[in-house]
Amino acid sequence: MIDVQLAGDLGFGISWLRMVLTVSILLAAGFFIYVILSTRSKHALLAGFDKAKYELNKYHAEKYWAIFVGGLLIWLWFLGYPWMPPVASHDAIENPDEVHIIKVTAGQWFWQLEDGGYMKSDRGSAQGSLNVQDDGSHDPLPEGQSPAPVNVKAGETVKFIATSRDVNHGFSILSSSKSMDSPMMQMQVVPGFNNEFYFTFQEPGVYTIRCLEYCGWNHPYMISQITINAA
Amino acid sequence: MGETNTGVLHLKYEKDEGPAPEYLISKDLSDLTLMFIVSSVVYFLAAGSLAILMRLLQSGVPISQNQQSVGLFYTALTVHGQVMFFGFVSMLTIGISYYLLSKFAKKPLYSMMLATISFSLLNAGTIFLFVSGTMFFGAGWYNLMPLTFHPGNGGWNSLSAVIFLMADAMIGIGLVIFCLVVIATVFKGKIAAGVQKSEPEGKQYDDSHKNQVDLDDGGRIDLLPMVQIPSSTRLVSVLGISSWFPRYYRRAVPAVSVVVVGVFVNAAALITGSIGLFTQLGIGFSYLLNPDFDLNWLLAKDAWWFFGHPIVYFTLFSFLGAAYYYIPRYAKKTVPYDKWAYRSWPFYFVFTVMVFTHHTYMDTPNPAWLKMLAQVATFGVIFPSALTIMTIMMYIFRSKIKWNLTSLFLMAGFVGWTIGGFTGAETGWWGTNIYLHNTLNIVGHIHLVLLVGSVLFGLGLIYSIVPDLTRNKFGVSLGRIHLILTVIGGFGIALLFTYLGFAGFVRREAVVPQEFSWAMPWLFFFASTVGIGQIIFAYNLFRTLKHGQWFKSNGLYYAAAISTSLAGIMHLILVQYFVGFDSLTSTFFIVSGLAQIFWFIPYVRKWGRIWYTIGIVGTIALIALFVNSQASGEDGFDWKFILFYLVVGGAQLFWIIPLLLSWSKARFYAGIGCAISISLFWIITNSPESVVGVEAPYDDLSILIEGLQVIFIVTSVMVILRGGSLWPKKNITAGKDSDHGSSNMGPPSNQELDI
Repeated sequence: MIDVQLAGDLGFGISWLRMVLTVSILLAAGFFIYVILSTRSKHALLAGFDKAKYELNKYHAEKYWAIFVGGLLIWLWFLGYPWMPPVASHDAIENPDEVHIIKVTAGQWFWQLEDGGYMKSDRGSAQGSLNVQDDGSHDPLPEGQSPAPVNVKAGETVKFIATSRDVNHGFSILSSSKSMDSPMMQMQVVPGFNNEFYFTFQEPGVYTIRCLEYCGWNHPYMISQITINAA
Repeated sequence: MGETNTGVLHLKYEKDEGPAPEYLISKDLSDLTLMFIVSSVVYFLAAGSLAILMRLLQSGVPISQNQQSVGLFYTALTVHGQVMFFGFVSMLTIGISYYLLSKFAKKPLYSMMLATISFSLLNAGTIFLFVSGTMFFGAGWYNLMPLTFHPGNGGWNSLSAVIFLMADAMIGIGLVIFCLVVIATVFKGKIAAGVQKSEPEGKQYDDSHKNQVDLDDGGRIDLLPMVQIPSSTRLVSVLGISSWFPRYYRRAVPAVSVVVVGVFVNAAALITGSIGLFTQLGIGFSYLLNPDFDLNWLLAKDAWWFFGHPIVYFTLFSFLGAAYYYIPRYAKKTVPYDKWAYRSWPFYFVFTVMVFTHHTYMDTPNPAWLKMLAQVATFGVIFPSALTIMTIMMYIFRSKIKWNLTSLFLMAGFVGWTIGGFTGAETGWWGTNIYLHNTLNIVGHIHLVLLVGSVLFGLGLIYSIVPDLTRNKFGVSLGRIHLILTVIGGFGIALLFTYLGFAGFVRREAVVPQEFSWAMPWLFFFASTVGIGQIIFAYNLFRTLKHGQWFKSNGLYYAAAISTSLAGIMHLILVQYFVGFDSLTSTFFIVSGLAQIFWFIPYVRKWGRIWYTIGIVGTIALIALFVNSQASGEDGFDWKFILFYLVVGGAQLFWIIPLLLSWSKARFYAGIGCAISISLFWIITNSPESVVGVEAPYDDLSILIEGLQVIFIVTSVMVILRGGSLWPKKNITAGKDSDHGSSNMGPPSNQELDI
């Protein structure tokens, strides 16, 4: 089974998704086939279907089906629970000193990344509660100001805090340096808010940053890159 | 149609379609329903051509310069989305819902005036959407504020944004009026109810349908008595809640027809969701009044989806309710009260309103409880959908269902909707949304649930409702062609979108990266397939409405009139780009545009040949000017070459008509000859430049075109060999002379209607 270590592992991964859905679809198809086979006349009674209802082409199928679908959905809900965004983020906040802050400013049509250092906490003060002093909240970087260079290592938890200077954007890091590929992570950058996301890069390399929310005619060209160094 | 004929036609209808619902709706409502259907089909074609435009742009066809083509793409994206939602599917839903409600609640609508107003508002809103499109408004169909007012460099102006917001406001009010009419109709006065009588006394099985009363009326849910039910009980009944009661209490609540339940749940869910639309519009208008307001754009977004998800289900619920009636009807089942048909509806109602939150998984500032709710609601809405599918399957399973156009379309719709449900479960799961959000996978999902889901349901219902209202038959062969083309194209485009999303293609991208360009001609092919199917359908529909005669004698005139006036309107739109540029040019465009619009009148009033000739000569002159100006430009394109291809394409498209109308063999020989010569020409022009002096592109699209031409040749030869009909079985009896429209294609003649 998958064990959740850090907030970065938010999803099942495409292969896992494929497996779980295949199982679900096979189970559902299997149920249909069961109904079809078990209601052939000589099998109808054996399978527990009432003869009178068989003649009227009506079975208990719906009842069993409702229970089956309900059970399947509850199973999927529990399966997905650890990856639920607030639950997963909680793990990272547990360990604030080791969280690397990257401040992101989005605008029509550019990305600016700024290194925000590591989160500071005064753990063990007063009631011993977790009190993060600098969580990286920031306003959009003013125009013309050059951001601090970013130095991210593979394996460390990164907290992206994104703000927008104008409209909604979609901050995504694709799984390669190609201009278009499946996203590894993404979040919306809503203007007027600090949009936060925890992520851990497993492999060093160059990754494409791409806007995933339509933001005007030059939206297709709102691309940047991030380099992840070896640990 | 004469009164004497009606009885015969009615018998004919019942023979083909099964028993017609007993209650006859008023003439006014009948006309209104037809108006809804016709205008929705018109907008379907218009918004569909925008889809074709997008596919052309992405296939690399040089329609305009780079920056303009990106803008054009996003404008088409915006107008396509909103018009399909509001002008087409919502319009169709409302028209059919009024019909179904009156028919199955067995009473007139609460107010015909309000119903007519909702029709006018929806039309006005849709026209405003097109107007904003001509001004290149392109903030996306979901109108994600503040982009609406912040297009960035070279985008649309704020007037177009105002027009767009006003369009949405008018549509929103129209939708609310529809909901109020439905709710008032359901709650005022008596309503047809009482199906619970079929639940037997004692300890028998509660869905075995052995009650004598049911056997008497054949279990027809359109034959219910009018009952006065107290409002509170009525609410429990029309939301389908009573079906979950224990049997004793279930019997105590009179059940209304499941079709009424579908329409009511639809209205109740949408009127709740429309709060979101008006919140979003309110935020938008306050920004227009004062841009310094500190507005919450996250709220605007959440509010939009609070409306944006119910509007998807809005296109579905009335049709699903109808499917619970039509499928058993064609499957010859007696299903007067099937509690499983009702049990989905309370879930649909509750979770449709809540499920919007799964659009905002990626909005991290949203509170955690909203995300928790998203997952529960997504699964909550999958549950009743799965129940519906199983119940419908059980009606069909081991029945001798009559596979006519309606039942075929409904079944195809259920297949598409089911696949769409699986993809929806993928993207609506919080562990996977992060990979799939804003990829083409989502676009695939929406086309699965809409284009090959509710649209197929709606089209299927048109095939049953229009004959019920007009007592005219649809052309069955044309209907089958429509079904095949829509299914091939619709599933093709939706599944390809889904696949591309998995492969990492981001949605709302005007610029296609190299690794995905292979898919674009395929998308164009599937989109055109759907488009051709709908043109055939529109022809079939209008012919049916007018019983053939009107269309035969006027169709060409109207087609010419509409095309010239559309061209004129577009010329006038062009003027704004020439203002302050060159007064001679803009004057020329204004004069020619007005002339083209004016020429609508001579054609519709049939003024005579002189007028037609002037129109033709003038148009040819305009085209010649266009070609000339393009050829002398510094662009690299050889426009004469492109014109040649346009003429060839037009000629090839024209050959649809002889095929469908089974014209004489001579025309088929001509068509085959032309296709062969075009294929040869293609081979020659695509040879290396040194051989022929000019080299045409040798790409996927042209290979596809050549393949299609070969298919055309082969099928034409088959048509000739089999006696000039696409459906040889019928033609054996219809006779082999096919010089005129064959009988199975044409409108029903008097002879056919005699029984």
